[in-house]
Amino acid sequence: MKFYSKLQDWLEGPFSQKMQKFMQNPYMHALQVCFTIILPMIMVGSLASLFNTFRNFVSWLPDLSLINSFSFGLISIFMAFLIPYTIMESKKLQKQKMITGFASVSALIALANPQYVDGNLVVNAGYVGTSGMTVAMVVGLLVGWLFSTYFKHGLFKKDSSLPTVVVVWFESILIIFVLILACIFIGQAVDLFSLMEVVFRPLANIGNTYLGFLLLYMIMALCYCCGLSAWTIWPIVCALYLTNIAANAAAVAAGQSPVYIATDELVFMGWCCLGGLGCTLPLNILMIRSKSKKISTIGKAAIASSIFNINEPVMYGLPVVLNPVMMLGYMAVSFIVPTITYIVFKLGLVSIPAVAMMMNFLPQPISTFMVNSDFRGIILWAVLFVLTYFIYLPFFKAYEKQELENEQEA
Amino acid sequence: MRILFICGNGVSSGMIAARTGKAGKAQGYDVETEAYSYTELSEVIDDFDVVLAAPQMKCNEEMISETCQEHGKKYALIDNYAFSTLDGAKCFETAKSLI
Repeated sequence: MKFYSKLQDWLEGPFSQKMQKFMQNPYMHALQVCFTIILPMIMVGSLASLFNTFRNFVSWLPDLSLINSFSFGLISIFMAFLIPYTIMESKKLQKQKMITGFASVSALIALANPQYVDGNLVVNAGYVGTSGMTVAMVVGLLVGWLFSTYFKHGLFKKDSSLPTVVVVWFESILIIFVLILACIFIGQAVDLFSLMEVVFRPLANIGNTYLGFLLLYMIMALCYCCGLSAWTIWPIVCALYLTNIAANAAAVAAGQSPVYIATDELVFMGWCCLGGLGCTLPLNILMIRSKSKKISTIGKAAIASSIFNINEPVMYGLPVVLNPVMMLGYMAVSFIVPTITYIVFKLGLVSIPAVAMMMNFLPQPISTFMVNSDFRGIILWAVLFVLTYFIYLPFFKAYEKQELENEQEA
Repeated sequence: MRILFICGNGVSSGMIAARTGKAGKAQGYDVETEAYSYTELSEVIDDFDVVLAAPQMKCNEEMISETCQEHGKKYALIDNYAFSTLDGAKCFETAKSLI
């Protein structure tokens, strides 16, 4: 028992502190913030795609693809603005944060090397949308670093007699001019977007293998049960998921079968997050049925959220977070569920989702059916539900025993 | 009294925010509560009197503490048990004690 409490102390103390320090650097923060704030745009696009799936059953419904084009389809522009804006804000450079964001958008478009034809600006639709996300992230981070360093250093002496506004104008003009010029040269010389794709292709390929798929899930789960935001690696994961679902949709449109398993629709809406990351819905049910008054109270209060796949109440209530016994069960589930899911889809036993929706908060198994319209998916979901229940059971019982002992002593 | 609740995306703190508002009004106070993502903290903090952060915000506590200090507002991390059982009354007491 001494080891146990020492482990807990270490987790809650030095370990947490080190991880917190890592998490709070402005660049990581900016990437996480970016996806949170832009989420409504992704959801609008998802809603349009979801609506379009109904056209398979009711053919006279209008085609809402354009709504997707103007929301999700412009995501690289939004990211290019928001990432350096957030970095500048973290570094307290409030005066220049907006113009930095705009400069980054200029940079992105310049790098996309658009053409001017008959008075029309013709830019590759993918480059400002889902295909350009990696470039947008890199450009956003670089511009954020460049501008924040530049403005912190400043061009003029501190006690210059020029008004602040004028100083900001001059400084801004110079660096933006240089940035755009550089991006024009680069954009015309190199197709950065394809290059990025080639560079990230190996990573994406790894992410699309069983090990990569499993690892990404387990890293998020590990972060979460250690009390860190699971959003740590979300920029990478989300970028992979979005690219994959776009590729799946394109394949289906071309009459082929979708191949990419690592998508938000499959993992979060479908089969790997029953009740939230780590499949805590069965755990919530175990909690409600518990003999411990404290645990069953929390279970009853948390079930409403769990149904909508929000599991912070369960994670922090039982708790699972920084609780060694439950963490073991949590990570066991986080190993077994993605493994089984991957195998089932790889074998083609259930249809791979191919429509972008990204609505993680919809109750399962409703959302499970929505992502691929395949009844066999419901069977898989039910199997995973029962399996997860029995995996959590022994760990839960062990912890419950501890809790009951504590309650008796009190 | 305006209480700001923050968590990852504003969703999990939304429920506790509503419960706390109810608890406060039941005690006869003029209470308004809202839930936001912690990413928007610096933008909305001036509209509120006090900040309550969900337990999972512990890993961002430094940033929250800094922002609150800059804007002259007090904050507290919601107790795990109170958060999970949606104990609005307890949260309201915490908020009251900070003002």
